[in-house]
Amino acid sequence: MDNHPKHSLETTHDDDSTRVSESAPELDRMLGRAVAGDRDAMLWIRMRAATEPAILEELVLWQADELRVTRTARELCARADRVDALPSNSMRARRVGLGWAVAAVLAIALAGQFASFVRTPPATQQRAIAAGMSDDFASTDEAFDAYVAKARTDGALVGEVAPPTLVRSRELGNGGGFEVIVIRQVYERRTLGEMYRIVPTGETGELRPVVIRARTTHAQ
Amino acid sequence: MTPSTFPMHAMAQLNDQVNDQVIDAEAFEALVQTRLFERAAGGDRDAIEQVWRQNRRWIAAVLAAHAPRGCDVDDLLQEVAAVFITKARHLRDAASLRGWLRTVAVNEARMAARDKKIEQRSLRSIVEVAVGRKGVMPVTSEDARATLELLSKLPAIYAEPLMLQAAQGLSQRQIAELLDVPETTIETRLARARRMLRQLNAQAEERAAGM
Repeated sequence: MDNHPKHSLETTHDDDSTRVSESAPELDRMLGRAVAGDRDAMLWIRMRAATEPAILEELVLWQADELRVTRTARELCARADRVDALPSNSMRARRVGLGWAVAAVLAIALAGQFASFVRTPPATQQRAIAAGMSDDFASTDEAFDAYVAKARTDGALVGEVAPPTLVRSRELGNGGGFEVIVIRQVYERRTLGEMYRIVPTGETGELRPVVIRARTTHAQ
Repeated sequence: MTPSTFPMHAMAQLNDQVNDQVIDAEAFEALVQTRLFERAAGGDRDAIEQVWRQNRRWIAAVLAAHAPRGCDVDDLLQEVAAVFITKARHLRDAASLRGWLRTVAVNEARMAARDKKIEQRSLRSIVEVAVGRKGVMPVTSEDARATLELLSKLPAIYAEPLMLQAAQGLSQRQIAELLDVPETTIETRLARARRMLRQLNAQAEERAAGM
């Protein structure tokens, strides 16, 4: 049907969102309202179809287009629902390039290392602890183990060391093995005289630290 | 978010605040949203995630309207999420959140369009497109992919309200507020968008019939 002006897709459109002079043919407005479920618009179209039956065909085509757009939007929403702001554990696992095989190998390899947290430190480590946190270590692992042992002795380490979290892994190529990135976490306990709370202040809501002192029965 | 999904401790605080006051559902919802926003701005991870989940669908719609053809909306959405997490603490006003998120989404889409142009100039990219490894939006159904292709041919000012209405079920008034244009303009743009889409579909159907 050609009883309404068609809009050329080649037309350039400025993006001035304050422009209010836009208009659309009345028929298009009514078709748009009808596909959105407006009963008055539907009635208007039916009345006009009495003299222009092709309008009903046009309405059916618009409804079919609307259905396609709705289905597309539904799929888009389903995809959007899979995008979280903060990566969950399951997302982290999905990002591991080489999957469970490497994760399993890593777990076995690290189990040996982490067992050393609970067993008696080796002679070299005892030496290191006795000497304080010096740089007299054969490896960074040994230094880390010494730190954990020292922190346990001093009561600065709370509970268990969390199991390492696998972040990502990749094959180095040329038989060079695998590069594995893990997060090792420790829970520490510290005693502080005072703490700060960050609070918005003033008209601008600028964040400023406000000191919080521990309550005491002693005069300060 | 409905009040029933609001955490109980926060709900108790709200009840204290509105106690002995007559407050309608819309105002209560606004209050809930403001509190949620404040928690998100304060760095509360649960609140950040909740705010994101409330908004991600319509943001995907905005990206679909503005992104260049063949661009992965999922990747762009992830970029918007990253900006949201980084900047959430700097937001001052719950009322401006949607407008700000839309601006971020449009900017991400524009950057993707710019990157796409640069990418398309490289020989490697041309080869990859030729062998079908890139340049395909990974939507699950062929029909949806085809519709997104058609929508990407529409000027963004027309595609955006159409997608916002279809994806999030936003009313014309809500779309008008989001895009900061009069409601009548939105109705006009929706009508034009549907007319353009009909023309494109008709062309596609003619091509298919001629094959």
